[in-house]
Amino acid sequence: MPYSIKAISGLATSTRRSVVFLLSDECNLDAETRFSSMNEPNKSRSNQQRNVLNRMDYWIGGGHNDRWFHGWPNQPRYAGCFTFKWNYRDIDQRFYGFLCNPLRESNPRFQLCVLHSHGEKVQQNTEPGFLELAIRLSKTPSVLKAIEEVFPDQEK
Amino acid sequence: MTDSLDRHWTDDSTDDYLHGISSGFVRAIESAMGDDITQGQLAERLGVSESRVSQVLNNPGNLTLRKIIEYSRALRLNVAIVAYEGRGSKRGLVPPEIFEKCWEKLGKPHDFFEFDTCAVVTDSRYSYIIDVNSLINIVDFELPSEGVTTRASPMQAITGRYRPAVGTTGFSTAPPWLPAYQIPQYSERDDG
Repeated sequence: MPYSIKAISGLATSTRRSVVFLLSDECNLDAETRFSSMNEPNKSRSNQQRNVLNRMDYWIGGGHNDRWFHGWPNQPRYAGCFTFKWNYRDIDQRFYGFLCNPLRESNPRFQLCVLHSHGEKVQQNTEPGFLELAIRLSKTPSVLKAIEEVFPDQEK
Repeated sequence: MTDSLDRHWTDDSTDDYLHGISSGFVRAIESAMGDDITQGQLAERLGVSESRVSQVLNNPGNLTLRKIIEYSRALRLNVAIVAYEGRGSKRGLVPPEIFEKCWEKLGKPHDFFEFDTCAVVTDSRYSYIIDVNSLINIVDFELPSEGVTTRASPMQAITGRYRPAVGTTGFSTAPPWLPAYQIPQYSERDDG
């Protein structure tokens, strides 16, 4: 299968929200690679990765902080897109992805954030290519199947 | 670094844990600054460079207790250090905002006497700050939609055990025994 889902080790667990990475054999989805490369081998976790994990945890716990993450609820086309934000060496960093509800029957309130790409934000507005890719991936059957394999829905 | 799916990442090392709780503090600082106080203004109050403030806020892993107090005082905040149960939970750290909201919901008591006489009851629309002494008279009360009489002690009311769920056992209007003192309930909203 061209797509697969990778859980993020050590992230907070919740029945309401979770964050995963989307991997692909066919196209270059670099979010997971960027996340993994934040740590040097055999060294303690980097502050950069700690910053990102803190932000993910806070979102999973239902927190609100536009400086750490946000969606585009006011732009109907991009309403399902989502980004986590941090700064590294004075450059604004972003993970881009989309939100979905994979457990529509068994836990309809459960939200999953599927991150696919990393980007450095050097201009005021978000590069629309990331958001367009998020939309396309969120509707791709093989992506949805990969999500379903990790988050199988079951009727109540 | 040890990697495990079976435990929260802040359990991997003391430095990870320190970063986790320090980030919560940074959120509080940034929230207090809002749009009114810039990093430059905060730096001026602290007598340090703006880049130093930026460094602390972006990478809070090296925060000391002294620095936490200095930053808090510069923004006229108080600090509490809370140790709580739950070590090793996969759910991770409890954000400091949770403790703050619990304190606010109890009417911001400053001593145990206030805690004993102050409570908050929430219905489907509002939270009510009430005097616990008034609850003594309503140890038996009826949940409207269930049509049953429920026996509750004042302490149970304080813990919110009988907090009605929205749309089910919720009071459609304020229960008559509650005083007029109302505060809007913190609204829930989902980003994205």
